[in-house]
Order: sequence, then C-alpha cells, then structure tokens
Amino acid sequence: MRLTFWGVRGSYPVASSTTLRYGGHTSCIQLDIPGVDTPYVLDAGTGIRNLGMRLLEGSFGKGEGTLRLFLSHLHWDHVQGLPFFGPAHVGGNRIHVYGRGRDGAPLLEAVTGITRREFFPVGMDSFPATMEFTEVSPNVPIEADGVRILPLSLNHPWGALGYRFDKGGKSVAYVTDTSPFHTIRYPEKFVTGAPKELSEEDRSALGEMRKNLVAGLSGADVVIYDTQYTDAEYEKFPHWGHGTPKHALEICREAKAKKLVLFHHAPGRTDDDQDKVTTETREFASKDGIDVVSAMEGMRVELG
Amino acid sequence: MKVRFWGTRGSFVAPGTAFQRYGGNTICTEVTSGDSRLVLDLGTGCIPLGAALAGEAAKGGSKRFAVMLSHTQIDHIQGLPFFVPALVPGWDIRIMGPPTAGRDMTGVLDSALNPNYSPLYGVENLAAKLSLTSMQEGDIQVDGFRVKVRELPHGQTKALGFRIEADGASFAYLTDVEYGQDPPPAALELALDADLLVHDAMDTAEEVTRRHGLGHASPEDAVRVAREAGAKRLLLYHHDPDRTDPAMDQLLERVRRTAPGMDIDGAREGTVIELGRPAVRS
Repeated sequence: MRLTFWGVRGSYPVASSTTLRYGGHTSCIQLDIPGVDTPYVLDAGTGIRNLGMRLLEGSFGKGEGTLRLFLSHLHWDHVQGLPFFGPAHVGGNRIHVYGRGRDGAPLLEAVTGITRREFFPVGMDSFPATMEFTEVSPNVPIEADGVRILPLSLNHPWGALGYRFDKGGKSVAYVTDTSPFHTIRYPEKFVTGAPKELSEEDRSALGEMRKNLVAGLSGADVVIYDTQYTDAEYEKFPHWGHGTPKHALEICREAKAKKLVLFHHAPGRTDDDQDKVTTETREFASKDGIDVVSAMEGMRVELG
Repeated sequence: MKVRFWGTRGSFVAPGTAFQRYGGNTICTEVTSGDSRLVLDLGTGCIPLGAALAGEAAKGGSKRFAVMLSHTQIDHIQGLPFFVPALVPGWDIRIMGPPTAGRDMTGVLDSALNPNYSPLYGVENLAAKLSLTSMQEGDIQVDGFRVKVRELPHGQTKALGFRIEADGASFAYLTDVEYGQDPPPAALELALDADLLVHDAMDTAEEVTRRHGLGHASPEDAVRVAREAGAKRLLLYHHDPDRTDPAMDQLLERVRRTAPGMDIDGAREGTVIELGRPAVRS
C-alpha cells in the first residue's frame, strides 16, 4: 500500500508564506493498493484538485478511470475540492462516493448541494463523469476490490466517519475529524464549549465510540489521525471537534498501531511550530515504539 | 480612500511558493475612508483581514463596518465561517449581496453554514450582530461611501459590480463577469473615468471561448472596459489558480504591449492603494 498526501490542513486552506513546507491545502489523501487498479481517495478537500490534475495524465484523461472516494463528513474543508476535481469533468470516468448522509439529507443530496447555483456555476448532477453514492454505517464493514473497508464512528459535530482499509495483511486507517472522548459529546445543535460534567448517557455513548475505535484500529500499520490542536488549544476550543497528538497517541497505544501520522494541522500552525509538535510527540511515543510523522503535502508513506 | 487587497485569487486558493507575490487567497478587498470601512467579498482573504481588524479593535478601533458581496459563489464567501469579527460578540456587521436561486442573503449564507457543511450549524450562530440584506441595482450611501450597484452577466447567473466614491475619488470593482461580445453599458457606467478599475481577468481570450458560460473575463476584456470608460488605472483581478507569479508577469507584459500608455498591473495580496484626498474634518 502507498499513501500520497495531497492536502493536510484543517478547517480552511491556507495560502501563507509560513506554511509552505507542510502545505496549505485541506484534507485529501490518495491510497494505492497493490493488485487494485482503482485509486482510493480519502476526502475531497482542496488537495484533491492537484490529485485530479495528476490523474488526468493517465486513464482518467481518456475517460477510462474508476476511483473510490471515501468522505469522512461533509464540512467544507473535506468536500470543497470536489467541484474542481478534473476527473469529474471527463465523461466516461466513474467516481464511487462513500459516506454517510443525515436525517432527510441523504449523501447524494448533501454532496451535490455544494454545487447549488448560489455556490458554483455548474451543478454536480450535470458533471460528465458518472458519480455513484453509497451510504455506509459505522462498524459495518464493506468489501470492494478485495479490500475490507471498516467505517468507524468519530466524535465530531454532526458526526464523522473514520475508515480502516485492509488487504494482503497490510492496513491503513484514516481517523479525522474527531475530538477526544472524555470532555464532550456533540449535541444536535451548536454549542460554545464543553459541559461542566458529562451525563451518564453521554459518558456511556462516548465510551462505546472509543471502544469501537480502538478495536477498529487494532494492530493497524498506519493510523492517520486528527491532531489539529495542542493541549492548550483544545482546552479553549473543545466544541469544534478536533483532537490532539497526546490523545491520538493514547488511542494508537491501546490499539497497538505501528505508525501515527499527525494530520489536519491547524490553519494557524506555522511550519516551525509543526516541527516542534512532531518532535514533542515523538518523545512521548518513543517508549511505546510507535513511529510518528507529521503529514506534509507531497509526502508518501509506503507500507511493504 | 484606501483600497487594500487581501485576496486576489479566483475560484480556488493557490497555496505554494509559485504564488507568493500575487497571493493565493481567494477574493477579498477592503476599502476605507475616514472611519468608514467596506469589505468587498469574503473569500479566504477575509481571514487575515479579520485577524487584523480584531487587532485594531483591541486598540480601540471601530467594530462596525459593511460587507458587499458581488455574488455568493464559494470563492466569495468561503472565509465567512473563519472571519473573526463575525464570530465574536460586540461587532456590528452589515452584509449585503444578491439573492440567488430564490434565496435571499440570509437563506444563502444559512445554507452554506448548515450542519452538513459547517460546525456552526447555521448563520444564526455567528456571534456578531449581523444584518443580512439582499442587494439590488441602485445608487446608495453606505456609511461614508457613495455606491453604484449594477448587475453584470456572470455565466448563467449575475454578479454585482460596484462603483465606490469617497474623498473625491472613484473606484470600480468588476469581478466575475463574462461579456460575450461587447461590455454591457452597466460595466462602462461603473468604470467611467474611474481613478481605479479592478477587473476580472481570470481567463485568457482562448480560455474565455473554451470555458464559455463559466462567467469570467480576459485581460483583453478588462483593457477594453478601461479604455472605453476612460479609467485611469487598471488592476487585473481574480487570477486563475494555476497562474504562477512568472506566468502573471508574462501575461502583464503581453497585455501592456496591447495597450501602450495605459497604467496596468496585477492586483497583489497586501498592496494598499491611496486614491483622492482624505476628507477634511471639521
């Protein structure tokens, strides 16, 4: 398996001189799996536009490509690249979109909604490529191309899904966006902070979510995890639904994962600050034998 | 009157070393005169603008201003959920823009911030005091600015163009426009004898033909409006997300050769342009 990072930034794309090394594009990762000629794409943040240009050089340029796109959720930073994804504009290509819609707004409707006339000149339903939408559910594995795909429930406003991909004894998990599981369980409305104390019901639901996540990540070769915040930032902003490196390490340690990729960097995090986060997290991780790296635009991770 | 560019990139952000001089943030321009402030469009450029305004407010600066949106396509509103003045109580912001597809300004922004797309769960959770109003063609006064608003063709929809006057100077803002053949009278009216014309120049002439219907102008269109309207200075705006700094330099060289004597440049993120004289205060 091979991961290629096309966008690593959280919340919004950043065009700044202080983020040139790690990159400013939002979430998008390409996963190539040996024996599978269909690229897997994790989220459609702004990074997907550059991926699209690369794919157009091959079969997608001739309208003969097929790919699978797995959406963690539909917040703008995870979908806003999709209308600008070159392969979607070439007839004959097939794009299978996986994700989860919500009450009364199925995946298809919610995703195509980003190109309503007030937001984009052309509706996604008239893009030349064939787009198919498949709703998935947490903890219910599916199979495609001989790959086992396990969706996992995450702790984020309006919900988000993580995914684990297994084939030929190798595994990669994509876990974003998520908050830790001990301070807040997001209600179905906007909140401006965490509650003073969790209710018994919330505590139990969060415990269940965490248990399923740890089980789902068990022994994974690579875990890509939302580590947007430092501990101090999380204290201030628990209500936006993001995690910290310490929390990610705690989950990886329990799951006995081998490698942690820090991901979804805060938009204000400069390259130098991200270097420090990497160094600090490596120190914490060394005793557990977990390899730590910060995702960087253009970076590749090869797994056997 | 001061014009400051916070985001000059069209359609899509352009992070990276190749875009550092003209800038990679999407559309946002700030206009100030005396105590009045007008923000044009809310692309990602409004995020650093918001941080700057919060900094000024901490030192006693005004927390009241107006925003005018040319239209609501995503590169013109994507900064809003991260625009600090909109997110904290105590600010008083008037946002005006065109209704689209049967939705008024509140409807459009609420739909952009619905819980599927934003952890804000809706426009009502922006903590500032917001007044959202739909804007039509007309001649209006916005704080210290006289503003002419005209509809211009933008692909299969419309965008609003603006002429802003203060301190004895005039500034025309025409972005996301596609003319077909001749620029419409409204474009020339807005740019008439303007001290500064900022004009969409996303596509080359060849691209305008290929991407017909997507709603953008070429540098040639911009030059033509500047020439016919007698604008004194032209800044190309809404740069293609793939146009690198060297490519932009080359494009400008080529365009300048076609319009000898015309003052032409590319709008650059961070540039401040002073127009006219500040009003004398009594």
